[in-house]
Amino acid sequence: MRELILKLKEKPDICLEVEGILPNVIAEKSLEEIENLPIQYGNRRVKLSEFFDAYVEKSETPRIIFDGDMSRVKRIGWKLDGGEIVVRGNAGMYLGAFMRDGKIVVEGDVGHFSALNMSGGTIVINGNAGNYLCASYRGEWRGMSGGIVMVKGNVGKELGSYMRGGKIIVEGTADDFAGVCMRGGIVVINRAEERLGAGMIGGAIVVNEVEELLPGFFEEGEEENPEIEGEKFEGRFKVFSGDHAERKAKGRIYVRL
Amino acid sequence: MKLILKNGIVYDPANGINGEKMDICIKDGKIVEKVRFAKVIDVSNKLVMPAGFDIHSHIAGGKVNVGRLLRPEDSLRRAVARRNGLRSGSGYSVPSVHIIGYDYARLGYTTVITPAMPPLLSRHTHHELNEIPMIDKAAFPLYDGNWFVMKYISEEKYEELKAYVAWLLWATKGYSVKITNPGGTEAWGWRKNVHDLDEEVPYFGVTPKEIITSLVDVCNDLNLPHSVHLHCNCLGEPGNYEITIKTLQLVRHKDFDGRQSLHVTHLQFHSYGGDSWKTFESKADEVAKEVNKNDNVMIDTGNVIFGDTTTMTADAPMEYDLYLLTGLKWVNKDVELETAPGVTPYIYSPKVLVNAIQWAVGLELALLIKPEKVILTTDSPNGGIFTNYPKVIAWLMSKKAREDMLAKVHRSTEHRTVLPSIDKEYDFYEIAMITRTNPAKSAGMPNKGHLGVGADADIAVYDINPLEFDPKDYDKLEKALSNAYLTIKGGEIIVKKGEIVKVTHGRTFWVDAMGKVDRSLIEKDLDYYFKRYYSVSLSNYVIGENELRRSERICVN
Repeated sequence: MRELILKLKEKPDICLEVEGILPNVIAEKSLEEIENLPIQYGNRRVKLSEFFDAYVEKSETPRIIFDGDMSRVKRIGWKLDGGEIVVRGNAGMYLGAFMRDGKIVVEGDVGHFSALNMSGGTIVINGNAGNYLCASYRGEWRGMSGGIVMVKGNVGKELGSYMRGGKIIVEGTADDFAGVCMRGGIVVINRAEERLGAGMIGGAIVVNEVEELLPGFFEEGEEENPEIEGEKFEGRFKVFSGDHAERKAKGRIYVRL
Repeated sequence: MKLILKNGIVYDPANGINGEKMDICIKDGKIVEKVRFAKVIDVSNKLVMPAGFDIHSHIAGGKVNVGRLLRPEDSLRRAVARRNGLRSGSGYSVPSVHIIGYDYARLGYTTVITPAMPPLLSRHTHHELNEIPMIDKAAFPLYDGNWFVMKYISEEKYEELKAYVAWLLWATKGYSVKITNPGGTEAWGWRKNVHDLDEEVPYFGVTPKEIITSLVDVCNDLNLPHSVHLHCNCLGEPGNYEITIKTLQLVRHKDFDGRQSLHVTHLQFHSYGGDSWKTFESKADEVAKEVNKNDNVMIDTGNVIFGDTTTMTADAPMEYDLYLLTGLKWVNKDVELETAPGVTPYIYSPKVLVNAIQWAVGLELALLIKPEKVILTTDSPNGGIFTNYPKVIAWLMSKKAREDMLAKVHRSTEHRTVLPSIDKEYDFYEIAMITRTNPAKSAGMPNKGHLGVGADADIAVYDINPLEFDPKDYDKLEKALSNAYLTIKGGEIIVKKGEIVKVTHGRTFWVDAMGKVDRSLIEKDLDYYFKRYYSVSLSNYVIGENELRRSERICVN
């Protein structure tokens, strides 16, 4: 087992796309082979070594560490299927998109469309996240289906749209349209802005504080220490069902009292 | 360019050639008796057939483009990079323009007809067709919900109807008359549909029966190369086989000196029994019996392939029903005085009984109807995308392939269909018939679909020895048919070993029947309707011949 450390030489003027730089891909390769792996720079294919200094070290688990400000590096952990990725700094768009397994830890912020259509694994974001975190791909009605995403900071709009399964925990504020069109899974948010759960027909949203709910949500009473999607939550919650603007809506929003 | 294809094993049903080892000579884009000083290509022990002909595939036009806009996630499934001078593209069930042409060439197909062109959107359709490389093409304009057609039929003005049909073919550079759910698309404007041949269309008071029979007569009188191309009423509804049989019976006695009087398209979607989704069953045997008895019709199958696809048809009420079933995204269009298409995604799942039965019905029809009357299609992309044709051919040629698939589908399928009891296996001669000869014959293109002297040199060679083919080995067949060893289009090699080696642009066929009618009969109505109702002026409506990249005008007399 070994880990690869990729140090960004300098912040690129246009975005890099590092699709295919995954722990399982580099596991069997020599350092030279790794340095020659192709990445996308605008409309050009370039070698990894053109933008990154690569070092290999021994480690317990297969791991890649991205060192530096990666806010112009897109598709880190795209289709990740095992192993671990650590980003020491910010990450760009599409972090962990279509991820199936493994773990990603980001010390800074992440860009838009992160954890898109994720189906398994864990992502920990210590900063803020952009719009469309854990959302479905444009036009897709089969969104995130599994895995756990934890965000310490705030997240942008349309968090977890069309989500079918898995879990999202946001310790900060989620912008408008969190949980839009949800079908399943659970979203736990500290504070939500407007239009929470618009169009949801399944799954559950647990929120400590919310501006106001859409008229499609009906109050169903109060619950003490409820069990939501197989998990115990402490405290008293007001329960809403909805969004009854949709047919056969079975979504639930729990607002902490 | 002069070419000789040497020692191939040739199947050419139009000329009665059944697996003979022979040479084919090509000169100046045509097949000739003999040629000297030609380049010789050795294709010994390889399957040689005329190039494929797809008579019903939605490859261009308003609906296809709406499908692309509606489904960005479809583009994610397949992206093709630019290389070797080929254009890039994306899309799985609704591929972008250029890769449609490349895909067809790789399959060994060189002629494709896009079957439902709303006349108002024909400019868009033709400009899109112009950009599709590799293939020859044509488009059928829609006449089903057309106000002129219904007006003339209800007023019993037959000569005017004839003039209008010919005028619209000329104005839209169309190839033949397509009717989709006759009457139903106009009724849809009133939030209704028609469910019987004698049900009246609101306002106009005409019935589907009158629309079909009048247009069948017009097509015959104008001597159009193709007959009426009909998408029957009640597509996809349980129990719709009765209306399908009634429709087929309408033309049983319309015997026009051996001329085909009706082409019934994607018959699979019209051969269902039962009275609800719970009792849904196959009635392919009943429909097949009627088709076999009826000398005047040709059918295409509209087979279903399991998987994700985008349905698109000019039958908007049907698309709405489908949307109610799936709850997925849906687009409805209303084309002014003409028709009403709809688009919605659909997933055919082998574990869903209805879908499994649909899959079986398509195969039953192909196996039970005489091969002389069958054309293989998937109504691409409605039943599945055209790149799956080799899969359907494998099912038709190998009982084992069908049994292997039956084992994977919903268990009740065998009780609701007769597929497990059918032992017939197609041979290469019959496959050449249903994918080459029959469509070319039905479309009335005498230079296509065969390898006789004088035919267009459109040839497909596949890397499989048909004389040693074992039906149990269907995977190999599927692989060979998916990537043509050689595709020759107009005497030029365009595909070699599954790779495109030359990009060409085919011709657009259209029919000019204006010489047979008197345009002055409809001049006044055209002026009035365009001033009063259309959002475009008459002069902007007509497509000029110069708008087609390579126009091929077929003059009828």
